[in-house]
Amino acid sequence: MYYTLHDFMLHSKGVTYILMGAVLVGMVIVWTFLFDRSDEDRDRFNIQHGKHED
Amino acid sequence: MSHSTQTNKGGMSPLMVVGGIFLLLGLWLTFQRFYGGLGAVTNLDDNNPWGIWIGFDLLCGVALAAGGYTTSAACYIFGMKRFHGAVRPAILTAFLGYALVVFALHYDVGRPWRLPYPIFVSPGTTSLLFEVGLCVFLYLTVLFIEYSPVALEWLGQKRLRNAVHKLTLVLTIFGVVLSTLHQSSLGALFLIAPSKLHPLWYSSYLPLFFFVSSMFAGMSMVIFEGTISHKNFHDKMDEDHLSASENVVLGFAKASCVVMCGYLALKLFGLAMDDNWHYLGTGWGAWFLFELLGFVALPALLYGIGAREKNVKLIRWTAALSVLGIVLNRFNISLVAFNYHLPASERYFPSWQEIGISIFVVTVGVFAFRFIVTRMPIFYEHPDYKESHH
Repeated sequence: MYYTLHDFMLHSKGVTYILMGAVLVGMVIVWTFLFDRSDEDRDRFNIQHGKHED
Repeated sequence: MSHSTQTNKGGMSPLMVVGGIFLLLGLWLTFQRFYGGLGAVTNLDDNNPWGIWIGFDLLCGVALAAGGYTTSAACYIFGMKRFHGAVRPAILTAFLGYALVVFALHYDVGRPWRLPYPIFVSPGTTSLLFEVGLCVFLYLTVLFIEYSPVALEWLGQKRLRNAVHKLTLVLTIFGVVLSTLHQSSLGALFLIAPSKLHPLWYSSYLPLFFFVSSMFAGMSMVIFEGTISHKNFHDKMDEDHLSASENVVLGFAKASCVVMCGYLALKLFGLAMDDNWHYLGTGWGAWFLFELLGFVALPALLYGIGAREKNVKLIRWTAALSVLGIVLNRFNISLVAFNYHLPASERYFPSWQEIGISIFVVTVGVFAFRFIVTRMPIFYEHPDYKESHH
């Protein structure tokens, strides 16, 4: 139960900021999940074709 | 590959016959609608002035036509030329989608000859509907010009085609700006009804939800439409298009996965900011979670796995699921969770005639798409302009 608008904002914004932090971490995990194999594929391709990244 | 304009040499397919029946039925319902008025064919009333003609034909039509701006922005603004093969089908789908949105709007508002009034005669510049109308009017024009090189190549109008082709980048930028405006404004329309829309779907972030969801709706529709086209118009596709299609599917799956995760996060922020967590334990909450987990979180995961494992088949099925999810989301906002507090007897359910008109509109779109792709260079490069596309 919230008695003032301040109580409500403090609670809802607090939860939102925690979620934002979790989402930032989560997006890094999603990005790694999506693209790490692409990097492996590229590295394998470069090794097979004798190419070196600059 | 054959660029012949002859199709179905053995006669009409069963699907064509079914489509023909839908067209005839639609024409009869059209007569009923314009002769007898809205009351003759719809279950609309003062509580529910917007039915499935708005919820499906307009809201879903606009969201699923977003593939036009996402694909052309990826190719021409972000320079991802590997998606070039998907631009023309996406622009055509978007052009037909928006044209059908305007076409279907006639059934809802009536008196087609007054359609230009809100723009040219009595513009209500303080209304969100005016902004939506203006953007759809301008964007349909932009899409027509973006599509016109295809028709001009087919008609052999080389000089005019080359002149229009030079406008591509400007039109793409204009298209992205207009889409940003009206995709979000469609969500903003519901901000006027905080007491009518269930709190789980109502949020001050509705414009953002609509815009962000239109991105993955558009990309999913491009994959979905590509799947159907590959089955039916394979002989119309050249080697370039066929070899690039897998790139398009994988690239759009990755992008859709990221955008869907962002959308999921935004929905959580919406819940948190309004402190609506307690509604999740109700029946409405179960339905909300069914939509969010089953048609956003699950497709995002499947897109991710499909892109990582390069499983094109999984991605194609996921695209169909995502398209269904967008339809469900727009239905929930405009119909299911709208007027949620009314007794069951006063809730809206579409009449069979309304559903018939919506099927008629989709059938018109399918026939128009088929007519164009079997005649014009959509899935292949016109031999006279091969160099200019790169």
